[in-house]
Amino acid sequence: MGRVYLGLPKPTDSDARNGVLHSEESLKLLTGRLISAQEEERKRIARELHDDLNQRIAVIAIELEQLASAHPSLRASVKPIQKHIEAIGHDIHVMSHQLHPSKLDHLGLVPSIKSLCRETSGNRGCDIEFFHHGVPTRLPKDVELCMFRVAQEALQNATRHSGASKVDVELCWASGKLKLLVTDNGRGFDVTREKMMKGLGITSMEERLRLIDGALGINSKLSRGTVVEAIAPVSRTSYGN
Amino acid sequence: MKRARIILADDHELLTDAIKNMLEPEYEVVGTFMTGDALVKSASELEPDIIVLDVSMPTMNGLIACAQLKKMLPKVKIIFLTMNQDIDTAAEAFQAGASGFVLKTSAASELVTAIREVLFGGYFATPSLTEGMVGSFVRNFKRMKKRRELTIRQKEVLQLLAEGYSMKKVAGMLDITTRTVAFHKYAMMEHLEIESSAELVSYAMKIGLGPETAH
Repeated sequence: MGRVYLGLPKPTDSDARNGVLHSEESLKLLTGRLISAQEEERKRIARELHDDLNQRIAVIAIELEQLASAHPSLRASVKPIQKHIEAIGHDIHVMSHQLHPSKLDHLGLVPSIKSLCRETSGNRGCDIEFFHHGVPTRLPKDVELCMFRVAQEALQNATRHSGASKVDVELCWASGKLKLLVTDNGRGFDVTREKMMKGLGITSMEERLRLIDGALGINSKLSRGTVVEAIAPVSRTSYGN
Repeated sequence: MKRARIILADDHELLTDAIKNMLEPEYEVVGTFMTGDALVKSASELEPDIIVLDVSMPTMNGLIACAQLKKMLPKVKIIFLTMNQDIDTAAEAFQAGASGFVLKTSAASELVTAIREVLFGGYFATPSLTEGMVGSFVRNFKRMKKRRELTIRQKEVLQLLAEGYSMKKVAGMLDITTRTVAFHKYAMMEHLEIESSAELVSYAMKIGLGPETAH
């Protein structure tokens, strides 16, 4: 079956090399757009869950309690329903937080990564320690979200795939740059194997960082652990945007 | 006795109405707001005793509003009423000057108790949250006891420095820049409250990272 070029001139052989470069660029651009669109959608769903569904759940909980107060004979039957409602409210909150960490908006990057480390450590039974030096309280929102997602991905790799027993997460600030280091003592991998790099969500970390003009570095050797290093430049004028 | 004056701030109207109905027999709800900045702008005119607000609100979140309100009206008591069960957020709320933190799902049974408590100068946090807090304190305490002094990377840098390699050489061996080696070195010195390179090397020996233990 032949190829159909929709409204475009059929490329000639001399265009081939440029075409490859061009399509690589387009692919990167597209990945970037896809990441932004996915984050927007996650944020929207998280907001719907928290701002709509969960508030309605809260109203039901309040009405149930009022019902029990008005009719004390019903209290015993209402109590387990209230417990269910509270549990649903809690689950919705957790789901919303997983989709988009509202904590980033409320408390900033350092507390958010700190609790990410605590949660991951609790869930995976791995010793994760967090260190931070001189990070400003508020940073541009896109930088905060990007670094949080990179930390999330790197921690997931370290705790799920590397067999590490210890992971250090460091966030530091120097000369207008924010630096995140995730170091594990796991089995490491061969960074020259392209398939491995793609499989570990490294492309997505790279693309996320590219969107904020940052860069990703991976240093790993078999049985010598892995260091993931993300650097993001931050201009002073863009704080809190 | 004069009824306490309460302001409610939440961008969910259904919920504000339910809370208002619940409180009005005992208290006077003097104003309701849907955004943080509208609340901050108008609060002082309404002379409230208590402000009940949510953490997430449009234009200005509750935590920022709380800090600003406490500066403007130091005597007012602030209670957070939220679906947010996060311990760090609750800690930040108390840090910003709040006296109470109540979950919306427990509002009917706990909000009035919280209001009474804070009117008498006390503090109130939803019991299910405090259970989490106690657990978190215990975990942090245990972690503090077993906290490692240095990071994995810092130990690698320290070992090589203690073996006598220069910062430049260490950088080459670990495939990082000399500046990063310097960063690790000075971060370790600051963390360990050590002032000279010699002291750092002797610390390395003490913890078993030195030429004798080299590879």
